[in-house]
Amino acid sequence: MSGYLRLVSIGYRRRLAYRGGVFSLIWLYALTFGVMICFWRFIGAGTEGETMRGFTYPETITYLFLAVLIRNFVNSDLDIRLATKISSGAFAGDLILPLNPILGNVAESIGTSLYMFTWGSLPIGAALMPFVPLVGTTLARLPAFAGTLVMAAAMNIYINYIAGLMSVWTRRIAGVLALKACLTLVLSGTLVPIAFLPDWAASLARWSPFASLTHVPVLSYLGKLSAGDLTAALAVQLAWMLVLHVLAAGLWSKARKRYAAYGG
Amino acid sequence: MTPLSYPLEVHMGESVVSVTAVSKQYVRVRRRPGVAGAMVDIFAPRVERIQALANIDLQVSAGHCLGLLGPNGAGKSTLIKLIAAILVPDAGAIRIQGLLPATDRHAYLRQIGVVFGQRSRLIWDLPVRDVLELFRMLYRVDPESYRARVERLVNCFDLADLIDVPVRQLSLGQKMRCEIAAVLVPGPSVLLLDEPTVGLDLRAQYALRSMLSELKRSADVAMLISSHELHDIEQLADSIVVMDKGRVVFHGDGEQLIQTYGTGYRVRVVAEGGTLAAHPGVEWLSANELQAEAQDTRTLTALLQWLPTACSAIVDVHVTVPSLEDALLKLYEGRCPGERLSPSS
Repeated sequence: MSGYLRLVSIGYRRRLAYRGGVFSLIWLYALTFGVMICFWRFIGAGTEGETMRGFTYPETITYLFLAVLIRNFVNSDLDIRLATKISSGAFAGDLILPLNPILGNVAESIGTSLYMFTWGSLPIGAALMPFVPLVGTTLARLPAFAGTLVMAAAMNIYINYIAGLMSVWTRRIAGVLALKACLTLVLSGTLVPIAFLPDWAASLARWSPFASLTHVPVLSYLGKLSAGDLTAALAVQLAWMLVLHVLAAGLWSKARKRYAAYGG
Repeated sequence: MTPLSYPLEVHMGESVVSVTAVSKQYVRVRRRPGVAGAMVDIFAPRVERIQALANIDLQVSAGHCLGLLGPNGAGKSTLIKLIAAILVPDAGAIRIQGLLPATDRHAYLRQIGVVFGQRSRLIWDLPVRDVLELFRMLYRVDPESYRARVERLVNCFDLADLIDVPVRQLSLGQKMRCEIAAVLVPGPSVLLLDEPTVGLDLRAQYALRSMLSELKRSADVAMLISSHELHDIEQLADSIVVMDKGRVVFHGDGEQLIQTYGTGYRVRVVAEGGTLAAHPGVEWLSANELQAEAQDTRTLTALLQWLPTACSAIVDVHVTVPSLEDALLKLYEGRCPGERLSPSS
């Protein structure tokens, strides 16, 4: 256990070792949040009292603000980390350590996520908060929010893991990762709220594993989910989690065999 | 240098690493030529199996160093990867201290330290100390012995100035010293070195070799080294395994290898004037130049004693001592007839 915690700290400090990296991270997050806020302020100007697809303007911008925040919090570089290690052969170095190589990489990625959160989205989000008409939440909604958030983080690890593992079968992992990033951005509701998508796309998104990543926690924060909705959303999250787990385990054993057959 | 000792109950002579009847095949793809061929390959790929290792048996005991030699593609790295449990053998078994990687992977891995000369395992962005700390935790070294061991390693490998510098700012030789020190932190019973001196300058190579031979003397560690740098093998290995095409073609010590495949001592003499007298193994190139071969030191001494009787005044004597390099080239050449490798005759 202490070894994995050490890896979390290593993941954190590896990124913090470069001052230029910290400054670019702050810039990147300022841009991500800034563009999003300016864009939706423009759309929402003069819409007081109106709702768009069940969302008032403050709810919409809170949805997106939280979505970007959560996305940056739960997302990690596990996919890229695994992909580079597998294609460069450095993964062999992980295989000879007395630890679970997957959990080791997950731990290091969690460290990276914590770095991105503490040096990127947290300060920038806090600095921009006064410029956004944010909607608060109630104490009663917090457990559901926390629960769906934990599930989101776990599912995100699985999705990134599966995407990264694909580099055992492809030389052009960048394509796989770009596809994953696009799907996540659109279907999780980080780009536009899922409710704003065309109906067919919205229902596709709701049933996809990606909605669980940000859409579901944000809706529980906003109190837009009835008890029934929440149960259904949690059931969908759980079902996807199982599917992803089976998929990940199957792929890992196949990857291990292929790695052995081609000589690493 | 301070001797390194490990709290491991290993008796001399008892084998720590045991490789029994290990075989391994790889899958290789054969491509058809041209664009049309590439298109056909999409639908009907041709896959063949390559025998990377065939029925390999090896034992290495504590305090012993086994040198692995062989041309590229002989299977040395595959063997090291199998012992490091990165790959799984198709047949046969590999045991370290009686442990099998399949049944108790982590206990097995805690016994070995692996150094790849071609690939660093240090953390590029962070100081070396972080890897040492990580290894302390992963290999469950108690803080007491950790502190003592790091202190000894810092002295032995001269790391005091390097340990807090980010790895990316170290030179290749410094990195390799840190790398070996790091894998010794857990106190492994087996040290696998895959081309540890590759790319190092002469001085760094020399320093590394003396550190390793000191380590071999003082720590009860079983070492397996693969290298194309014959000095590494000559200085460190107690016995040598020569591999070719996945098979062991020679197993013995360096002396035996030289005696079996070596060319013997070659003597070239330039004299003021000779009698052209005959002697076994002597060939007169001209009236004042001769060339001779002696299989061992006894014949060489006899030859050198005979020389003054055959030549009136000796101007120059040049003796070529049989080397591992010559013997290896002869051995490889014998295995690939028609491919002239050795410089002799």
